[in-house]
Amino acid sequence: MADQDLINRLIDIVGPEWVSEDPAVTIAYSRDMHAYIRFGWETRRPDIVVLPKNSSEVQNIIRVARGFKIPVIPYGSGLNIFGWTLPRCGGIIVDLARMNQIIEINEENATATVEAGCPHFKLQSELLKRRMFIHQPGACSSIYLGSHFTHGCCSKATARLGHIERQIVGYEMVLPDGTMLRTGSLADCRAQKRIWPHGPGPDLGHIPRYAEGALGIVTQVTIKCHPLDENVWPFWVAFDDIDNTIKAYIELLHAEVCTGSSLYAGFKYIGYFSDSPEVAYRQNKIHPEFMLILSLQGTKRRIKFEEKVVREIANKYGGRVITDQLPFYQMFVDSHLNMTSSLYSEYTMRYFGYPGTVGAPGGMVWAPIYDVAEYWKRLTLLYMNDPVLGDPDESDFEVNRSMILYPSQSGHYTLIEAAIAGHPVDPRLIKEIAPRFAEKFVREITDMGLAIDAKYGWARRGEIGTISSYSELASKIKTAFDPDDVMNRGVWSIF
Amino acid sequence: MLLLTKEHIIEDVSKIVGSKNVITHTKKLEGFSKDQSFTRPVMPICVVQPTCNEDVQEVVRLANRHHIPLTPRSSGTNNQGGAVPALNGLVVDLSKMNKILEIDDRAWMASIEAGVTFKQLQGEVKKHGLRVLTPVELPSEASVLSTYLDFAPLYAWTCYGEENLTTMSVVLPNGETLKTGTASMPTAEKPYCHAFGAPFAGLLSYVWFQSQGTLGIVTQSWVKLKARRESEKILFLPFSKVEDSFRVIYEIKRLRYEKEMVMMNKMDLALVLADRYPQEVISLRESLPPWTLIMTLRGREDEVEYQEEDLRELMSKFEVTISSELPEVPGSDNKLLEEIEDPEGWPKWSQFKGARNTIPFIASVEDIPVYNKAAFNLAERHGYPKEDIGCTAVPSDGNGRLHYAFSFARDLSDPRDTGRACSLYMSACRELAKLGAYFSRPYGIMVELMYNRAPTYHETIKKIKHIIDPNNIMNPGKLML
Amino acid sequence: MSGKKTEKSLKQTYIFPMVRRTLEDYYEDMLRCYKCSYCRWVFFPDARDERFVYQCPSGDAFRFLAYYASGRMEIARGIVEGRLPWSKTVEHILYTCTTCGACEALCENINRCHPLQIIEKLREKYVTEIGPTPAYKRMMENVKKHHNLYGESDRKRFDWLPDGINPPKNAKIMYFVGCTSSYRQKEIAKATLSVLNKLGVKVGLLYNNEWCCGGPLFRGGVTAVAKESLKHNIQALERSGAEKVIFTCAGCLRAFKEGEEYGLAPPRFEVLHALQVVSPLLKDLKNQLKPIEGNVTYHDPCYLGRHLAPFPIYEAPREVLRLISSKLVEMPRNRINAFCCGGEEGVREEFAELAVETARKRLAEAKTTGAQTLATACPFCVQNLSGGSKEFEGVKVEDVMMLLDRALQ
Repeated sequence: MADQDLINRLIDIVGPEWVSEDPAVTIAYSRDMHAYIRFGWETRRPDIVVLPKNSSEVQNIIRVARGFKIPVIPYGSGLNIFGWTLPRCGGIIVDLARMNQIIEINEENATATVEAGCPHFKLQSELLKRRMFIHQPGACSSIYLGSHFTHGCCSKATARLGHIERQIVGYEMVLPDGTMLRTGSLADCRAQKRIWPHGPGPDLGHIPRYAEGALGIVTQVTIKCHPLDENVWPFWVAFDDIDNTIKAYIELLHAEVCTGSSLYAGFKYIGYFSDSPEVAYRQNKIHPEFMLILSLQGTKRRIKFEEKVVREIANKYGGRVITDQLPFYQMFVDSHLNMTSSLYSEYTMRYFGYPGTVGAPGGMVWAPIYDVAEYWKRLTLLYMNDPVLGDPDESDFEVNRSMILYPSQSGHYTLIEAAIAGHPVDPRLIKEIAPRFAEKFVREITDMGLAIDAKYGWARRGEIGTISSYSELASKIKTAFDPDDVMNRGVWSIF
Repeated sequence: MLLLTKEHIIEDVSKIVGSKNVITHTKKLEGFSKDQSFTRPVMPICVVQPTCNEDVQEVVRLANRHHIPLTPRSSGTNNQGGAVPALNGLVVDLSKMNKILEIDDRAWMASIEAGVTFKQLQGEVKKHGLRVLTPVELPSEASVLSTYLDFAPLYAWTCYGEENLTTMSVVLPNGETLKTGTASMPTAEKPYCHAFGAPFAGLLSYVWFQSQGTLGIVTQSWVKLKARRESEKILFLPFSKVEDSFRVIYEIKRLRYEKEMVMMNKMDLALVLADRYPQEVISLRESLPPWTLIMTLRGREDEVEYQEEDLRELMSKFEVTISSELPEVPGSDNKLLEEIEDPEGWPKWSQFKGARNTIPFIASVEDIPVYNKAAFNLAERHGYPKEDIGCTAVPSDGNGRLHYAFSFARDLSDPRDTGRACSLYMSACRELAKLGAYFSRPYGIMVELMYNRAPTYHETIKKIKHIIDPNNIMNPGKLML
Repeated sequence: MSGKKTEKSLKQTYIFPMVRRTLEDYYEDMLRCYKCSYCRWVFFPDARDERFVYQCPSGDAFRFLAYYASGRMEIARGIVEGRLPWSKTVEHILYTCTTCGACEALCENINRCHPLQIIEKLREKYVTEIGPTPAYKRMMENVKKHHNLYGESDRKRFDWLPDGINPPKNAKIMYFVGCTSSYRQKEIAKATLSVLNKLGVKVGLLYNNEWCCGGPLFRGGVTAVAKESLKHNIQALERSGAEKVIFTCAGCLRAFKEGEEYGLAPPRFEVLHALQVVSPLLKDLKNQLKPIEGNVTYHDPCYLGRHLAPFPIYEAPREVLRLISSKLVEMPRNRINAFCCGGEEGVREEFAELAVETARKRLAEAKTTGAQTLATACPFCVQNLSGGSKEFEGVKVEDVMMLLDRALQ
């Protein structure tokens, strides 16, 4: 039961219709995708839910909460896969749903400024009219821009646009003491230009990233926009062996062509359109093992040139261009042209619980691209040696291994999204197969000299690959900024 | 805390790095005490030149124990006062830590120590068919690590952006080495990827950038390299008014072809192109167009061909000439390509009059005419010849947002000329700040101007500084910290 | 896991229940909801105007997560697991839902958690364990006693018939009018008969044998009474010899399609909207149509579109409108993305403010198209949208049949 005095203070700030401590209202915030795998169904309810309208209301809420030493948890779209928004020990959930406005689209500077609660696709729909787009996430377009730019990583155009941190132009963040920190050129409180993310001086331009609300609540974010070209062509190139695929991909990335590219191996795009594991299995079996998904954008001459390069590389390494043989080609082309969202993003959500899902995602591995072939082969061996996954009566591991690559610009390194065969809510996967597999998987990655960044789902319940050297400094910084540990208390503890 | 005498300090550091790596000679120390900026020269107690990370750690530990200020320096080519020593402090000169630790030529990454220069790295990576992205204004003797760490503008910003340094090793004031990103994972063999899955990863991976040595000493980092291509072409577009270039640059950048791009006024371009100073500079200045946009195309032959075709088609709509050589300056294409490959930068350009002072800032393109007008009006007021003002714009990878710099040449030997340039410089900084110019890397007077307008940001940095460097030994006084 | 199915793997493979009757049968679906929030917005690839990307009238009004489908899933899970007791707040959350089905249609694309079905089952459970809400109690009593939603005399059901017009009681094509057209939006029923007459389509009427279709009661969880009423209608229509039954009320049409879910035998007649019958007949009469003034835009009734998936009726009304107007312009949210008018009977009676606010939002959207007329094909929509339209000058709300009647000479 929350203190009535606290409730009254919150009502003073946002108005009575935007505060609730009713269990029927708070229960809605008690679970998220972290709990998509059925173990660890930790449902944690907040005591109070508040919906502020603007950043000064957020500031006042934090100040009041600090006075009462009650935890404050920011809530965006709730789409994270780590349980960041589940209150560890009660508290106030600050739901940013009402702060969803587009503040400014500056076409000359190619930036867009939005409130933290503005969903990705909402901004995209406006940018589309101006022939621009923003970084298309590797998650569905309902994510809020405030939260996505604080913990997203990758997209299908990472090869040209860079990872998420390259997309930021500035944040506005309410610190635990209620003051407003603005980063980059926004820090100049008189000029307030939205042009540069770094400085002034030591770069706090990424302070909200992976702070998970523990250092404050982001209320506004300015993002880079990119020009949407006249012509967009999707290209899918299929290969039959991993070595050639990786060689081809490296050459392609080094040629610095293709606006969007990612590599799907195993668990394929087509699986997104299967209504049951059986259909997915059949689809996966008849489609090629390795697929480079490319999008070419630009003038006619550019597309012609890039197509030439893609075909040359495909021929050199035994790849086949299969774009026109895909069953959902037209839908795919349409979604690329829109850029409001993309087939890739929207149906990515099917990865997490749809009836036809055949793979459960489990973690992010950083690797140089030339190590990926080795990674794949070792993954295959892990499958083959697993008593269940390697048993031909149980499963066909050849069909059910998977990985997705998100390379950096120019192919310096890549993020590998690791997945394991099975349905994410299958109790057998969770209780029996995954724990056994996860241990071996982590050992294999370490042995290969690769780095696991984040482990989720089956790989490890909610744990992230901690950077040990940051821990001491991180806790000192946390104590200095938030001595009462009000901001998202306990967020970094493992369930 | 035991207060040590100068002699004790010199003795202690000599024990750590070896006496041949400690500079104490006054004449030599003078060279380290100042640069061409208006920062007041300060003589250091001595200059320590460690050769490995462990030495740096030991020196820092010593300094922390006895509260001795440290000013780190890699190549000293900053020319903004960043390397001017703190009062009663030591200079930690990393120029002897100049090993190229590893080149991963399949991933186009190099691990380098702080003392590695562009010249050195360029020479090495060329053998692998790769190249380093070079800075505008800074010479090839500049440290690659410091240049990237400070987000100093590069010719290739327009294509690759400013984030070219990924993971690094930082010696913290308590003597520990912090490695960022995947470099902190001991089992990662190729630790050049950023990593995120950790508390405050955004803060702790990035706060070292632009920190001017006030938080720690970065001794090693991984940097990105790019490929050398079959065909390299440079293109020049002249403009009589800077405003005429905005739409053109906007449309060109939408195509995303250029690998390097810079726009210079005739003063700065003359400095780049001239060999004989000052006569050739002056005569070139007369003949060059007021503004020239310079861009490069790099790729396969057929790639550069189609890109040039597209560009020419685009330019025909604007009635802008696009040429592969400046008609006034035969060989200008090679000259510029050479400057990009192996920059001579301000050490050469400052020989026009003796010294060169630059005000670097970030601007939105629409504000450039306003800033130009302000600078030229101030020049008139201070009796400074307008034609001596250099203007260089380096577009970032985002359209409409660029790095801009005013440069003022002055005669070091003429106190009146220096006085004029100095007062112009100060007024210009103040006026630009008032007009909203963003000093992302503030030095000298820019620090106060900037932080007066960004108090919360400054308070936050101070808090973080206090945590990392409670004894305030790291470059104290810089950045008002 | 797929591959050869052995007994071992079959027992242990995760199988999704195909048949769901009770709320508990949906438990697995509740667990699989992971808050992707598709249910709150239009289908993203269709988003065109940032002002009109919202779905879920109750969520959009009250904004707490609990008022969106993803929040209601947690309430359902709480009820099933026994962690959440019934309360007035739960009732409010449950019954402010207009059952527009946007959540169900959009979730179908992604995770198939069936949020609307869960909400309706939850309502059923609420009615069983606590009792119907006052509005639904009234409607239930009215339907039981007077066979219509409004509690008016069932003898007055066909008072709207113009003098001299006496369609037969048995015919191959029967017209099922519905309570709202019979007692409230009588002009729609009149216009329909007039149009059918002009086009030479002979229809029959059930007259006083026509009871409430049960639709609103199904939506409200008062399933038993609804089923009885619907069953009566199906039997009466079958006895009348109908091969086709046409509707002008989307709610009634939808009710007739859901009988099987509640254990009723499938009707032995085809169920169509009147516009589907009328549209093909108009093509030859293009020259005889007097076009209506100004541009027109069309609002897809929820029960005619999303609720009839996988066979929604989107095009028939549009075909008619294209023939009778100078220009048909689309609102940003159309077809599967149509924003509810807010006119669900339970919401209108119990939460009038919500109904009006929702209607205003839809009218504001219509106004941006520049159309002078907002046409729709359901009397509930006409009713609710007209109620809010007084503030929106220049946007007239009319049923397609009425426009067609004026256009046909």
